[in-house]
Amino acid sequence: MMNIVAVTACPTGIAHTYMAAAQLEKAAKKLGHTIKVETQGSMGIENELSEDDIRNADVALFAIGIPVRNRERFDRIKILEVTVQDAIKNPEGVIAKLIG
Amino acid sequence: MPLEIQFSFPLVNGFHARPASIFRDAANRFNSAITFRNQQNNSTANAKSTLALLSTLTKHADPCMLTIHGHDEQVAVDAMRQFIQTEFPRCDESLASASSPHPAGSVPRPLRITKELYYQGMPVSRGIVTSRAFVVQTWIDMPDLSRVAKGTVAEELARLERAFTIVSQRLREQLGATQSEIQLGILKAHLAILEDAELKAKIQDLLHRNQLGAGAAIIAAADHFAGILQHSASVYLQERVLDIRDIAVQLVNELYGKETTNVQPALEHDAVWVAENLSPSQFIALDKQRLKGIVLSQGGSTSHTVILARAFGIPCIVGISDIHRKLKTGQGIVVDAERGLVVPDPSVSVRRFYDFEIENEKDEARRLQQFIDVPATTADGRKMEVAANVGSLDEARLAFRNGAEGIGLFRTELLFMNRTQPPTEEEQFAVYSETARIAGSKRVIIRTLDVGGDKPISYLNLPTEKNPFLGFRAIRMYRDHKEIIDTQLRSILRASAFGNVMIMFPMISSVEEVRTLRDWVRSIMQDLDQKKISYNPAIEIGIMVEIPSVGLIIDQLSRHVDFFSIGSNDLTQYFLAVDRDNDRVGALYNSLAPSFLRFLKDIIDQAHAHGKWIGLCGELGGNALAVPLFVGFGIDEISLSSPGIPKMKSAISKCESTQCKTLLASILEKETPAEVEKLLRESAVRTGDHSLVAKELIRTASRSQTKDEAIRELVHMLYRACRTDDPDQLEEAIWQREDVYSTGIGFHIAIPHCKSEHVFLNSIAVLRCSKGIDWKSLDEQPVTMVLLIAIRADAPGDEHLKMIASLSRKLMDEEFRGQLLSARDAEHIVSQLTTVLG
Repeated sequence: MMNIVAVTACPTGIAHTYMAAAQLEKAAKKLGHTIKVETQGSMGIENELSEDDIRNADVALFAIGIPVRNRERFDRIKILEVTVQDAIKNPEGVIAKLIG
Repeated sequence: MPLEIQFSFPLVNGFHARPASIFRDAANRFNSAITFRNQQNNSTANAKSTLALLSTLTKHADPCMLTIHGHDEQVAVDAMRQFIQTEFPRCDESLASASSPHPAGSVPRPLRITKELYYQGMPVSRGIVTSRAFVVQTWIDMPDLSRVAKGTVAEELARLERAFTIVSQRLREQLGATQSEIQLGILKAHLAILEDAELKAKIQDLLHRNQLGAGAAIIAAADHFAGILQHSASVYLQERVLDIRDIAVQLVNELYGKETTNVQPALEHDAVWVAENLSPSQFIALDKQRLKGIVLSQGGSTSHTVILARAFGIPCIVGISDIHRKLKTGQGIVVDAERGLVVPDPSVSVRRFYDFEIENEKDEARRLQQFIDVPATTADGRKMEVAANVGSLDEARLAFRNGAEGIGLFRTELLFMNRTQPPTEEEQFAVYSETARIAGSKRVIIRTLDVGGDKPISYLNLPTEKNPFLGFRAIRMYRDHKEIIDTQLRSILRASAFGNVMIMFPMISSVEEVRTLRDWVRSIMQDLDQKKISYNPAIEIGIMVEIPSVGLIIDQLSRHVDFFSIGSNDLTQYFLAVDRDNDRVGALYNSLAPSFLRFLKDIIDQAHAHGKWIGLCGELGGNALAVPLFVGFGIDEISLSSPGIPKMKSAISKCESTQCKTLLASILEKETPAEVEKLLRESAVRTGDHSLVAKELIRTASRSQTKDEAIRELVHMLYRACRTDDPDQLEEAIWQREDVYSTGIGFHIAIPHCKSEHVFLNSIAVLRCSKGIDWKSLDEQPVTMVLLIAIRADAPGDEHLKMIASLSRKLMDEEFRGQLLSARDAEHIVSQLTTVLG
């Protein structure tokens, strides 16, 4: 059981950002992990990860098609980067990678 | 001492056949010798010869001078000055073609992707057609006359004379027979060339001097004049060569029979004429049922052939060099005269693309068809009469065929123009009573003579004025011409016995004027009573609202008139003090100026407060953008030129009164016309549905077979719903996103999307396809449901974006997807989506 922080961000920020977030939340729950997903989309940053969130997390996951905003927050944590498509298509596989 | 007039040549297209013949007619009224001199290139011409005038190669703004010498020179100089200042600058019709949502020069995506061969030219008559090419290699060869026997000079002169007489007779017969005003103009121009003294003089001269046969002399003379025009810097003048050659060929045909020249090719099947050129008389002779399109290697946008093509609605592209050598007769081609493209042997995908576009056009025409026979009604059931502006009985007939609910403005000026005496009472009565008869119970509002300013009429001898628009025009000149006006009023009154006829007075500025005119009408009525001639004693009398002063005394005027009609053009011009034809200030002319809209609202409210009905008959009435304003104003009638009537009724049917009133209130608070226009453009009031998802944006049985087709179909649905103004650009924006990575999210669903300034209203459009489409999806499964998400570039407020975010999340939910994919119909899809969108 892991504590995950994640960021999703896609080029137009209209749809894929939120789909990936939904998929990751669903998969983490199913696999028994806790996860908090920050979305960086058309409405700006939502469900923003705090310093505490990141400090208490075991690993960070970026499901992105564009650079992550405020990336320096994650300087001291292990990061796994995947594409938004990966997160939508195979969220459980992506989370399994975090463990491996 | 000869008299002179200095002027700058006013016509944008320079001298060409029509203006030249009008100029000649003006000069021919006088005995004095009138010489036209172009001081730019130092050419001179007898102003009484069309060809001589054409040969001066006069272009827009060239400095020119008229010299007038003879016993009536004083009268002539006044009249010609007046003519040059007023009538002449307006005698050339505008050649701009109707606007198209597909700009010329753009290449549609399927054509770019398949990389097949296409040719680009200039679209000059709109439309798209798929047909076969009919290629004509030599279109109007000047005949080879080497084997034609030549008689003596006297014999040849006699033959020449005979040919002139016959061709002239034939043109006159055609003139009498034609129904089309455009064809009429062209035939007149051709007749003017034929009867031009200089043409015949040149032919006779060549015949004598060079010992030529009549035919050879005609060709040489035509070459002479064509040569002058061909070397003109003006493309417009170069195109007049066609008219001269056309006349020459007609003459030669008359001399030696048609065998000597090219036999006119006849179309045996539906086809597109592909050739170097097509002369106006060839065009007239072709079977228009079979002529589906025209593609020419030569030619510009202003030839008479092009004007005819537009009048007949035949798509036409010009200026594709050597096209007649590149295509073969029988070859399948697409003529896209929206964008200016010719595609030979189109591939399946290109053909499907154009079939889709043609089908859309037909759908739109069919959709509008349903509005022809029904009264215009807003979405909430309020009636608003849509009437027609006409200038003749023919136009009135056409108007009723287009669904006019009345004649809102019968301009009577045409009856008075181009003649030497005013029309008689019987002549006018015939026109007015027949219009009343075909109108049945519908209103026919006849406006009394409105001349002066821009519409000079020679027999009225109106004085030359510095500022005719503020001068002696319309009712202001009635007292000086009381006989003419009495005759007109009498004929209108007599016609009122045959239908619902009304009288409307132009240029009213005060109550006294109305009182006087009503007195005139009353005394004519008394006379008719005495003579026991029938008329409608309760005939309604109204006035034009075009002078701003009237706007402030609507209450007083309401005691004297039965109705008002706003002439938006003049009212705008007088209200804003702008001459719209003056290049330097014309941009200030805008009927959507907030001040003007406030003024209009006040006028309409006042009229209603005093129990009078009020209409609008100016150009603003033809502006589809302004429809929510009209509904918001609660105006009773809109009168416009009749081809726009079905579209106007359709636009009204989408408006809801309360929404329009709210919109109007916020528009009246805007500070600039640009802001007003923006708000009108964006207001989806016209669609009656602001929501992100609407039933008209759902299609459950799409026949699209490819990703390309599906996206195009969705974009077109947005266009139809007035949610975008530029489908091509929107398509590009979606593909830009699609090129980053496929929006096929798996599970048989794709969500193409974009943010674009061409989106007026955030929208979700849905397509369910009968066949699975390859979308290069994440799970490589075919797509059966496509949700297009279109967001405004400035995306005001986060509300819609939030909805779309929650929809996106929800799409990851298997149960929801199942419900969406299996929804029974469009209503169910809307309700599924609406639940999620909250």
